[in-house]
Amino acid sequence: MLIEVTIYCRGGQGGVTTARILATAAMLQGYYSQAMPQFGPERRGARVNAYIRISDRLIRRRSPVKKPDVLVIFDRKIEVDSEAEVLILNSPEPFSSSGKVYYVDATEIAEKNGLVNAGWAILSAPMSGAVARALDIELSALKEAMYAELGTRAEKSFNAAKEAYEVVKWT
Amino acid sequence: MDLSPIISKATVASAGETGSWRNYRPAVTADLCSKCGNCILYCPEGVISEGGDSVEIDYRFCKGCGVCKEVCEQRAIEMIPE
Amino acid sequence: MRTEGNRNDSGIKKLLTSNEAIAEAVRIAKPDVIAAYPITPQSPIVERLAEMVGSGELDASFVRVESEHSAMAVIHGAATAGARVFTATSSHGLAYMFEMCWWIAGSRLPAVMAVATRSIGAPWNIHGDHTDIMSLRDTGWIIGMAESAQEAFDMTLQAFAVSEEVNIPFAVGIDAFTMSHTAEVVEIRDVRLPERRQAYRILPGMEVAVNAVTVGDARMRARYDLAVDLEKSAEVIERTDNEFGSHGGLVEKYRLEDAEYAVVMAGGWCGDAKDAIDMLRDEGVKIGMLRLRFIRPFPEKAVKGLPSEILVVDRANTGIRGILGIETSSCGVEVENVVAGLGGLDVDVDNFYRLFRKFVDGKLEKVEWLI
Repeated sequence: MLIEVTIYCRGGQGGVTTARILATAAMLQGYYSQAMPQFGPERRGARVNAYIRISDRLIRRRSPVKKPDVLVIFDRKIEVDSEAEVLILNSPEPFSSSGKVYYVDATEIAEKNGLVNAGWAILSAPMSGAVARALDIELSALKEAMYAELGTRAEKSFNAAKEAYEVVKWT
Repeated sequence: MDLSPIISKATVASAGETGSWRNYRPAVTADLCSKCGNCILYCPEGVISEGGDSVEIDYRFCKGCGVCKEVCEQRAIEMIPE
Repeated sequence: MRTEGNRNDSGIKKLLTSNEAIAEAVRIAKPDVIAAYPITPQSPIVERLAEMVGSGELDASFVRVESEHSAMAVIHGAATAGARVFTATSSHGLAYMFEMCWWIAGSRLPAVMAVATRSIGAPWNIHGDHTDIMSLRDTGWIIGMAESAQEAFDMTLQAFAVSEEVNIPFAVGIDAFTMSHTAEVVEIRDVRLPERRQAYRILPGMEVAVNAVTVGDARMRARYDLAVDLEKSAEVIERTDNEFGSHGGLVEKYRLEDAEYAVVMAGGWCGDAKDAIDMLRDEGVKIGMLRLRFIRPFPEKAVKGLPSEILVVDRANTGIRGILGIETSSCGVEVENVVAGLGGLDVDVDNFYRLFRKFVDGKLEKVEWLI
């Protein structure tokens, strides 16, 4: 089994952190996992991708994900053309897709929990929660992963992740 | 010999419409603007030009960095959350 | 969802990029002196080490230098006095320290350097290929090329042990970004290295000259000794392989037992190529890979044991041919040679599948560039 995830986000929203948190959580559940940024210059606000791979076997390929099974979209304004089976959206309502759609207002949850930097809602925590729910990652593993990745900043973030994990809806 | 990897010319929107990167929008109050041109000179993206009674900002490419607001001596520019 | 997938190994598991895995290995190796200058994509290695030194987690001197040339000069000086030393660089950084790379190898000083292998300009490009590390071939360094973050971790620790036994500096190569910035599951093994050993130490008060000008056959003899000892280091690499993760010694033989077709490659992109080999195997094609874990000493014996159909896929060129293509054919075998993936040009499983299919079908030119 190999699950490939592509995250579409903007530089500064926490897409790479989300990939690392989820890959760590999957590792804690016994899986092999991989978290990868889009390679190149880091530009705040620009569209960027991050990638996750999760498998029960050693993952050898390291090229960017081309045909994701799961698509995570941090910003509804990012237009994505994909045949992914699962879509996970930062949005108060779903949009139509041939696959299963998970949706949560991650921006609102981030702002409510004070996860804002220079006017940007930092979405890594709530989006990690929503994706963890969709990928069947346990809340306890997510918590341990967030503390491993974020250290002392993890508490506030975990609260936001937990909320998203609990309130995320799907079609 | 193909020189295109070595010699290139700046083109409009080579990085796409970078205005989508913005989360604060500079807004000019025309009444306060003295058309001194400071913002035009300092804008790192070169997206400000002289307009009718003040300056014009090309929002398709403005990234919202706020340098124009900082250098405006008339305090005619405000940064408004998108 | 739960699985036992990664639970077979002992040791602490962490999700680490190859950069971070190397920093962890260096922490465990307890170097005395680290000197480095930042350059993409290597910088996170020395940033993390600087944090460790700053927090007291690592008791080492971290020397902030003004250039890579100075970094290697500091390493050279510290190693001369008997310090365990580490540095890291990439691309133009390696080019800038090139002169000192010759000095430290010629001085027969043990040292370890990580190289996040990146293209060299022009044209300007920060992405991965093997152009930079291949430039070390003539200097006398041991050159290793890891495929995974786990191997980067293990090879870095092995580098200290081997380098200090054979008195030759050791470079550990990791592919830019696809390894340096990709986080993977790494088992942290708390290896205990032997105490620092080296052929000589120069300490204050000793009345000796180091590297005074030579005449007659002195240089000839020194170069010969280095060349011979570099070849002999193969035995040490093989002998200590099982202490450092059992990755196969000089080479990894992947599905080669009954192979009629062999692909020769090195570095992080071998993972995608192995997945492509599995696809061809599923179709009944007897193909395997000889992964060169070391470029120096060059694994001549393993190359000579290959089947007659050989494809060498290179990520660095010399003239129209690939560097590994030339190295491999110098062992007396016929090869087809493809140059690919320069400047980080993505070569994924599908690209490798199509390339290997063309090779097996006999449709490859003697030398081709995958553009």
